[in-house]
Amino acid sequence: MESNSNPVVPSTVHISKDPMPDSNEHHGANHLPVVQFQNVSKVIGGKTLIDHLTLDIPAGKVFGFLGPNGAGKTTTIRMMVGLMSITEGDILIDGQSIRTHFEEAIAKVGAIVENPEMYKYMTGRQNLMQYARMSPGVDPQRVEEVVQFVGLTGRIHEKVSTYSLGMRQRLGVAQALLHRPKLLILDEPTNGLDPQGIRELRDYLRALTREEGTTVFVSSHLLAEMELMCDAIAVIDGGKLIDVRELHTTAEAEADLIAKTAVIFELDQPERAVELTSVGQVQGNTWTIEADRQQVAQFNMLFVSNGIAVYAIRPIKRSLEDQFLELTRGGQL
Amino acid sequence: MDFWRLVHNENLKIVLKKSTWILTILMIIGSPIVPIFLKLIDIPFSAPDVIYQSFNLYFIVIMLSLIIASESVSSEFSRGTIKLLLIRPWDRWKILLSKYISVILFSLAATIVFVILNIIFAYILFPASGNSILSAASSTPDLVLTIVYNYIRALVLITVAFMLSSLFRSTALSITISILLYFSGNTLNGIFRLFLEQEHREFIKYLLSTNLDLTQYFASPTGTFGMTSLGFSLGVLLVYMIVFIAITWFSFVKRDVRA
Repeated sequence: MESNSNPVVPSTVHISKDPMPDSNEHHGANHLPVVQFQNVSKVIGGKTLIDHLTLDIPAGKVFGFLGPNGAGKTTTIRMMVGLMSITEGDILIDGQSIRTHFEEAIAKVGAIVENPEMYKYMTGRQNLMQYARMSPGVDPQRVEEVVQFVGLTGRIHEKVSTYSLGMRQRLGVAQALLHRPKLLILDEPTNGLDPQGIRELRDYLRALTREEGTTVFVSSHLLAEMELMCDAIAVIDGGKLIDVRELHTTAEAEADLIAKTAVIFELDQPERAVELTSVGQVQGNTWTIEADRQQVAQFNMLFVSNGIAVYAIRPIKRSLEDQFLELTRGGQL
Repeated sequence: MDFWRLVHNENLKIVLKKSTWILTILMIIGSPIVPIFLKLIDIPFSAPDVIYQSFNLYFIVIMLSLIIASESVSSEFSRGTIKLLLIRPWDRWKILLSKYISVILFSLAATIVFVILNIIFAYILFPASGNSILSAASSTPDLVLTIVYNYIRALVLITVAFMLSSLFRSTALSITISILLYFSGNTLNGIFRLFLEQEHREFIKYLLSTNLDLTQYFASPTGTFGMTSLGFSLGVLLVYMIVFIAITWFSFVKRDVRA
């Protein structure tokens, strides 16, 4: 799935040659959630935007935050980074409250809230230096490193006003990574990006979790994107947490091997398949059956040896989109 | 961590902007107009008198500073960069303070340029001192006091513009209101004087515009309205400053960022 030949993210890149001492210790050994939402509510003008949200974000994962427009994703993210106050409850980042220990908590966070807005009259590098000066331990060498990581080296001395949206997005990722955050927060990062840009972003995120142990919290209303990007997702609608689930885990993949799933056979003579096996359902030129992997192979062999042409064999999987629509339906409007 | 890095950031945001340079060049061109004009009408002034008169044009420095102060907070909101600025390991009040300091530093620099230009032009154009028509009648006010009084007015107005910038988060609104306030002050006072009964005029002495121009005490120790004094005006200005800064602090530090 990962393309190591991608020129933008060479697999040999080491963004963190000397990671901050505590981030190394926590990684793997410590199972403290990176973010803890503790009964968080946000009320503006009598309207409840976020309704008692309680959620833990595990370390070292790409965690998706999914919901239709207006579900409260951006409000939640703004509370996480201190741009909005929390009406009730608290949000802990690496164990520190964003309310009472803002400077300590936010130091662990890199974020892009909506579009990465930059000072357009400055060069890319001047923009990054702004943020480099504001975080301890970010020297010009680190700035170079990050610029290289996001593949902007060639254009970094040009004014941001000349950048394309994709390049601004990369600069946005760069400013978020400068201080080697434990947690990277991205709000609707694929908005306005072309497929190439989306793909690059996905590769950055994978590289980050893999090589630095960074936890990524990414919000989106695009299901297909989330499915490709995330290890786990939380679904939110109407300010309420609806569901939390892991995506394509290894355990799940192993379970698939032995579990019976619905399988569609596309055949030239589906009726004969029923005659031969006396099970399954025919619809058009397809024949559907519940079977495990071994049985699927046996059916195939049986059909072929009996002169039935097998055009395709497909497992029926409920896509995330179906599940998502099921979850959020009814809660809307 | 060094707080001055924040101030350095804010200085760069001002200095790297092209519009700052255009306005500054206009200010530099405009600064020595008074000495040149006085030379053209060919009246024998002494150089110190010319410098004192040149402060009639100090409003161009004030206007320039008001524009910079108005943009300081609000442009971060209109650009959306506020979202990246406030998620750094700095409490909001420190970021606000760094912005205020950078605006003050800019106005100080503009003032210094203005004064130096006028001193140079005054002494080049009016080298012969002594036979001045003004200094014969009364002594020219002290240069340092003139600068300080004018700068105090600039500082109060900058604080107003900065407050409006933080309160409305709109550059246009804060520039307009602060410049209106600057120009309408004396007109308003005149109107009050015309239409109000003597016993109702008492509140005028607490108005910002009555006390803003401290050079009024060069002419009379009781000021233009004959009801204030230098110490009184300084006290009133101080109270106004504290209120303005409190409003600025509250509107920047406590409010949600929804831009």
